[in-house]
Amino acid sequence: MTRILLSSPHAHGKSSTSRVMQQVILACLPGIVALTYFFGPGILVNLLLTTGSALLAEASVLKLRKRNLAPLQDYSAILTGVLLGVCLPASAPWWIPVSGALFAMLAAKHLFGGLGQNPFNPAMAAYAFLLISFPVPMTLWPMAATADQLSWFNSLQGVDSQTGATALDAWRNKGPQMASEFWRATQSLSPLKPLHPAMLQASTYIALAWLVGGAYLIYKRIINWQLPLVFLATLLVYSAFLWGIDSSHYAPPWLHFAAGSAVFAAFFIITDPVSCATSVKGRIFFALGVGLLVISIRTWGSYPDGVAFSVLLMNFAAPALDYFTRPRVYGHNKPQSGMGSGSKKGEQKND
Amino acid sequence: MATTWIKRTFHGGIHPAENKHLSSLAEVRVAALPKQVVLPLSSGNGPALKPLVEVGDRVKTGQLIASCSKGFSANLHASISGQVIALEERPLVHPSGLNVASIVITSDGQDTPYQHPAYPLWQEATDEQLLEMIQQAGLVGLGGAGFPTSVKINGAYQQGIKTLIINAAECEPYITADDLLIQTQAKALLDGIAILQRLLKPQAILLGIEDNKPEALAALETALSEHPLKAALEIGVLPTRYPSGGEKQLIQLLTGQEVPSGKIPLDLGVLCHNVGTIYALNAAVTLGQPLIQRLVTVTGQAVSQPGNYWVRLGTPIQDLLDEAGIKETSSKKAQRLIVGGPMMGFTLDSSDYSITKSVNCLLLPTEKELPLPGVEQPCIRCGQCELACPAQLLPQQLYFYSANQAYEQAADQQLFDCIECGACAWVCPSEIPLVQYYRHAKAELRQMQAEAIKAEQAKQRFEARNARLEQEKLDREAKRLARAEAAARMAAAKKAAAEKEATETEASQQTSQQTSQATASKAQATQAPKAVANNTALLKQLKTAKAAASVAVRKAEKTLSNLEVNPDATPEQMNKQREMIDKAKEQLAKAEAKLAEANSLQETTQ
Ligand code: SF4
Ligand code: SF4
Repeated sequence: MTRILLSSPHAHGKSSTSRVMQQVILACLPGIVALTYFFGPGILVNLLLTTGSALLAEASVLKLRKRNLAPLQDYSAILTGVLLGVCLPASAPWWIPVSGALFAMLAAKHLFGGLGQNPFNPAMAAYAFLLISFPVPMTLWPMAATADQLSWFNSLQGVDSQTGATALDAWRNKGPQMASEFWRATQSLSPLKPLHPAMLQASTYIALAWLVGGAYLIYKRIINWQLPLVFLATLLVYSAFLWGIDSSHYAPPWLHFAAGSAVFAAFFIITDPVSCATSVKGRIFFALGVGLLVISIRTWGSYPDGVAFSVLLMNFAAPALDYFTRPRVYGHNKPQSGMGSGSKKGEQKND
Repeated sequence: MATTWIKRTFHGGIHPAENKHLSSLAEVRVAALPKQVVLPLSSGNGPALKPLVEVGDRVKTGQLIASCSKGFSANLHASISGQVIALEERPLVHPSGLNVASIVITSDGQDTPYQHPAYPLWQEATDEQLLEMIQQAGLVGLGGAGFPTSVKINGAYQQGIKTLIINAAECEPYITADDLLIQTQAKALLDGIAILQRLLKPQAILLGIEDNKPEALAALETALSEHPLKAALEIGVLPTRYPSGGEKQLIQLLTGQEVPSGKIPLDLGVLCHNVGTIYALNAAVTLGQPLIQRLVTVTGQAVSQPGNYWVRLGTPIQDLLDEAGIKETSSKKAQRLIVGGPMMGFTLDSSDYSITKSVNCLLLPTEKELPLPGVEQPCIRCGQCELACPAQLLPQQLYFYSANQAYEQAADQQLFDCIECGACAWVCPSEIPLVQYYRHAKAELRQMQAEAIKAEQAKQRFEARNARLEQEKLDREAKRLARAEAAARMAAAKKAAAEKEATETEASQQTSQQTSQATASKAQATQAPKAVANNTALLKQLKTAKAAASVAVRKAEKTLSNLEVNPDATPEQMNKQREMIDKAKEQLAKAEAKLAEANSLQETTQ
């Protein structure tokens, strides 16, 4: 009787790429629910458009490259769609999510060779692309609902909904105003207040929702806890430092967490394994770098939220991080950094 | 001493389903005496043994039938009594599936033992006698590695060791041979350790056992409580985590030390032996029993009576499977016969093989039990493999370089520190057969290394040949010069004689012109050999000068061509470089002219 020949190991753990992706998508649910609650069904429409176009784009690329369609089942296209969709303003016109998803799949993913090969986070690359190309619709968020007044009922009823500045936008645009004046104006009843409290409240709840999803991922060991921790700690320390220097000028640390996409990014974006540094140590530096860049861009850059650009910049640096953060291998006294010594030794021998 | 619960850990590791209960609950059985055994003369590594019997010879159980003069391979003994019926190539249980020369013996059914000397009171034997017994008995590491035990022990004996480690971790899922051996033979095992203690005098003796074997641990503790080793042996209970029984990991767990890369444990003063080996060693010394049988776990859900069997070496695997009973429930496609455990074992294409010294387990899983590997997906760089790797490598990087055939970079990422434990592949969500890539890369690198060595040797041979030819040429030259010198001397002597005659006979007609001529020619004659010698030295100098000049030209030209392709080079730099080339060329021309001149001079003087 002949038996089949296989190479060891013959056993395999239970994890699979598609399961990992499924779990991440699942962990996005609290965030999606919160976003929909506060900003209306536009979020869901965006998500449908991004995931649909991402899947279509992936399928056609695979067809064109004459690959089989198996990778469609790995959920990575859907995940990219979801991660992009939740970043887009609820009131964005349909071509924003569609062109964003196409950019993510075609330019950011398949141009580099598909899953596992892309140096940049596709969702963030698409977001940056949209922000640069269509700055106006990309920064126009509808006014957030408050607990008693759901904005999407309004929109369903055809009430023309207002737009609201996001907290970070408002802070940016406060100009030379003192922080105390800014907050006083926010509390005022004037219709021209720079930041509607509803917006701030909404973004705080949404951040909490992302935190819940992120905790789930850590619990399930889908992501390492080091990354979000280092990232959020960097945000806290750096922003607190600036705030300590001049609290009337720099944003208070809590604003960096409550507003914008920092918490979301901590668990769902910088943890993207493909475009991150690959070693544990490298990832810690990656998270640190993104954190420093986010605060710097928010404070001195020309965009209100710096997450996308920070992530892309650090994606760029990831190979270098891997290069310098190689772990110490068992039986060696020192870690080897760089590609260096080993091959050089080899060359010397040849001489 | 005592039992300690080890808190130290090694990096990574995994918890695959153990499935040890399948085989550990059954009593140890003795497999039926085989009708025929096939005993290979080589284990696949190390030199082959020389057979000491011929076809037709009758042999007894335990009789030495093949040995290695240098002792690098372990002796081979007949595992049954009967007749040698063939000495031919047979397939060997080995990952590479090679055929090796083997001795085939048919049983006479008697199992008549061959009497070897024994030392039931081994304490009275000398060290030399003990070492000799161990060497004779044909012991190898029974944990699966199969390295000759006497080589290891002799090395340790000569060098001295600090720590003796007994490996009873048995971290591979499914395998329970060591577990059952300890449960049933704890006393004999301790005796074996005592023999090694006496021989090697280690400062510490540590036994590592995973905490998933409470019965074995209890048996050990009971036996130890009334054993002379009581004060010396320390049992370290390890948290169950694969691969805690890997030699390097076990040393790390028990001593906190790491075996330096490229070194062996002995370099740390550590000697590691598997419990099975120690048991066999005790049998060899106290009973005079060479290694002719071993405990084999036959397990998997496709086996009707899984359990541990004492099996004579050379027993056909099919016989053993028949005895244990096979129920093939999987589809044909999924039927596997794994030698060793699910993590590091290798598959056989059929059961037409025979049990060797290193077969510790036969695993026949069903498809449901160990599913066939899924489709390999791209690496998503999730880093799970890094977290699992006990060697603290970056498996994802090793994979990246190996898959892209950048073998040298893979080696630079310390590919050779990979112990092929398979933990990375086990966790990989993309189901990449990582270990397969590493094995391939290692094989390629070894091949490249072998080729580099060959090329280097060829180069050296070529250079040696050139040097020889050069030397011969020089010798010839020297001879020629010597001849020329002699000739010149003779000519001078002749001339001098002629002059003398002339002066004598034609003294009256002597003119001032003649005198001057004679002195001139005399001077020339005496000078000739000196000139020749000077000339050779000069020639050599000129030759080197010329060579140096041409090297300078070539270097300058190379720099120029580098500059030409370099976008940053300025025109000034280029011009300067061109000037340098011209200068170098001038020098070369000068050197060449001088050399030519000297050459022609040399020719004329000869
Ligand atoms: S576990 Fe597999 S997919 Fe993840 S980084 Fe390692 S090789 Fe890549
Ligand atoms: S097989 Fe090699 S790379 Fe993979 S976990 Fe084991 S030692 Fe590490």
